[in-house]
Amino acid sequence: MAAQEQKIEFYNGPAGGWGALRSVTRALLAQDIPVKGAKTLLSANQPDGFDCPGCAWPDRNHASTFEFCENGVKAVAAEATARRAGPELFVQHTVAELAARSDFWLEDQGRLTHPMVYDAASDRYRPIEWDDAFALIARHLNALPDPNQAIFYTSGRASNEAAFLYQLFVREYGTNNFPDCSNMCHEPSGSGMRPQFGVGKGTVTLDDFERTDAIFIFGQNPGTNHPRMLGELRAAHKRGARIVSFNPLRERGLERFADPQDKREMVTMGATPISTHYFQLRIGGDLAAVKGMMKHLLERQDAGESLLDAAFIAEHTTGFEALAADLRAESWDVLEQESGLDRAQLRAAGDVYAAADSAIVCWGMGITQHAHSVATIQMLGNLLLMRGNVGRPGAGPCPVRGHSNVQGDRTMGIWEKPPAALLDRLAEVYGFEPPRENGMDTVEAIAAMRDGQGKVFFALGGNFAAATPDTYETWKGLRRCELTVHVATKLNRSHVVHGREALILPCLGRTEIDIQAAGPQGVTVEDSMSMVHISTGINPPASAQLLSEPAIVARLAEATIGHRSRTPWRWLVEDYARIRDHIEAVFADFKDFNRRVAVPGGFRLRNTASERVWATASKRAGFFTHPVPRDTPSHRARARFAGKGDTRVFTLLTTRSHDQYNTTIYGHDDRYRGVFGQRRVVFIHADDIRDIGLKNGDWVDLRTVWDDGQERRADRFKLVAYDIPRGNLAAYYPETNPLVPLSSVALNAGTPASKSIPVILVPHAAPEQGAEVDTARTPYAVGA
Amino acid sequence: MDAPDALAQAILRALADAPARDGGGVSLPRLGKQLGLGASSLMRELSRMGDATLGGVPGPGWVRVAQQDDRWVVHLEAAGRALLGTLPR
Repeated sequence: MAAQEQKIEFYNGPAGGWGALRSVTRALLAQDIPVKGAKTLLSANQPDGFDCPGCAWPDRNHASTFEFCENGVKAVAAEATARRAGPELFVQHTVAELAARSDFWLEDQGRLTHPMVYDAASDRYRPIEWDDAFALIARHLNALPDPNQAIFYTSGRASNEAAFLYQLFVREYGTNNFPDCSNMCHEPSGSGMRPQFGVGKGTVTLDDFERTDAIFIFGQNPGTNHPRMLGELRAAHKRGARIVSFNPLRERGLERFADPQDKREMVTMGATPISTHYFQLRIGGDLAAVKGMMKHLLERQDAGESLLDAAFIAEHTTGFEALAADLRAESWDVLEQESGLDRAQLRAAGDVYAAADSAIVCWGMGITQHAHSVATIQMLGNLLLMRGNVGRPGAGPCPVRGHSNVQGDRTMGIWEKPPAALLDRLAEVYGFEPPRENGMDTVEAIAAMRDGQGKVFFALGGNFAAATPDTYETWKGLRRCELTVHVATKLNRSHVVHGREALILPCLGRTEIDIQAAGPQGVTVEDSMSMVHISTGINPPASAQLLSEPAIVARLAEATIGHRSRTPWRWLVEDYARIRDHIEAVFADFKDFNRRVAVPGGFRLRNTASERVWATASKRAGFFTHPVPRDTPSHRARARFAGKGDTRVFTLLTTRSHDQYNTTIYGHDDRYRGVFGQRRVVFIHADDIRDIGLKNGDWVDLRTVWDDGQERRADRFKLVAYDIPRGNLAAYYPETNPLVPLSSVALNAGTPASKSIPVILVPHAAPEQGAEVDTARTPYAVGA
Repeated sequence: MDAPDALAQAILRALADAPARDGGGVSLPRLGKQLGLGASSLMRELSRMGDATLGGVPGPGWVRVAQQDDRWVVHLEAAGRALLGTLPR
């Protein structure tokens, strides 16, 4: 790829629109895919087609026509690329050379074609036969004195069938060590909602979006992360629904959207507003903001209005009086100070909520990746419960999930804390005693590897080395392993940060035809609204050597525990309908699975909370009372520096660019934020730049303020003046992941608190006059 | 694919009957429209009729989907033409 011009240029257009079409064209050409006719190859979510491997936002009509999504096209184009990362690539480059390349470059080499094993003598990967690869893994696993020394990671792209077999294999092997990408994203949603509503999933469907009066969006940027959600928001706005956004950053996707499939909007260069109200609160100020809204509602109620659903509260909930007492006692000054919004704004948001006959509350990782995220999510739940906005049309909680099957994988039992009922059922159906003790989540797994307690790391997809916090601690851990194994479609950072022995196992992508003994196979996925549907590939595999993920798991299981397992591994993967029969045998919600999933569009899993059946200990929905957090790492860091010179502590959130999906970097632009050709930027309020004595465009190093004596830094970021509250910063991950301490996690969920990192800025010498600074290619911090 | 199913036969005939333009091929969208096929169904069938190895078995190589300038074009290959000659009209 030719060097791209680096510039910061305000973007005045809407989300979507012609900019999205131009971006898609560039993405296709970058993968050597002709634009004309590409729709045929890349159309996701069609009748008997494949499910988009991107986000988990549901499809309005899974059996209908192509629904445009810029990021979906990028994801599919990246998989359908004509480029190949075959054995010759690994002949040309040592692993040390590959490790010096950027994440973008690694993935840009194309699809992996052969299973590869690391050869320490030459520092190169070389081809290995599949059977030899499985034998190598089995040898390592069976040599461990304790199965809990093995760690089995799962990406949210793994299908239900692969995930089911995987959890079965790993539990038969003897551990519950299932760190997964849920641990890094929506774990707090489940942790907050299960005791509150009895389910760990959202209750709404797309039909509710059609019927709701108001949509509240907290800590989410759908324009970049769930572009198809903009279609729902646009339609809601057009019919008069109120859309209220809470976000520290001004995000174009929350402001206005031009639907590329709307000819009138495209021809007239028009757009539809999205948010009717936009509140730029302080990073981590959501709990205080919601509490302010609720306090306002209660004050109006106490003044004689009838705003709360008293009948619902009496019949369906517990804990309201304690919450009400807490709200009445809460100080407006504290709420204003901690939310960053004044009471007029908090009252205005509360008034919108009070005026809506029905309301949906959405949230993303801007809520979940904080120390107090579980409490914040329960506050969002409280807000809904106050007016009975759960379990009726147009109302309910909507945690918007990231990867396409992250919710399904958890449903299938990819969970380090498995419910006893699941283990009992596995024991009953398969005749073995599953391990009963909880396994390790992602952060615990990193610590175990770093400390020498985790010795074999197996990843079913994903890019663990780039996705995780405290990058160099994670890398230490991976390098300390006796064996690391990655199932993948493309080369990534995790393949070059490896254990003493290492394997890369290339697998089929979701767009590709999967042929097993019984013929072509489809796999199933569950979207963010609990819809389960089938996905069947349409393109030839990138290589004849690729195996499907279910086949890889089954053959690994056979090699490792085949001598003692009664599970017919090979037989199961001959026909995935057999795996679905086994899923049905274990999970009651999947009754008649094969028949129901054969219906175009699939089916919705039962969600008891949406029926106002509360599967909680009290058999009621729960109001939970939490104080406004005033002792967070940022509070403590600011206190540490108070009165000690001019050093200012900022709170940094890590975020994606628009040319990025999770750790996959498709390009170097962040169009809606006006960043082009670069990634090492930090967004900051213009007045803060002035106050630290620097200028817009100056360079800084970022250093975490933490109390464990360890230096965490990410160097050489360009200051970009942006519409963000004072004292707050934003920058892209994975470049800023080294700044996230491993011990900085969500309480009661363990999710890395990547959205609230206390940092200081240190001026970095500007590059010499005329020198080209390739900020796009520099991986992670200087000195990595 | 050992023997062509009805859909494969229809595709082979459509390609054989196509006017000699596009370098002897038919553009992908046009072929789908002509056969009344959705994109997923058409692409999956073409994948099975090409020479790609699926499930460890080399494909029959009856057709080829190729990039031609800035678009996708489906070509009838010699194997497909020969097969077509053996099929009843």
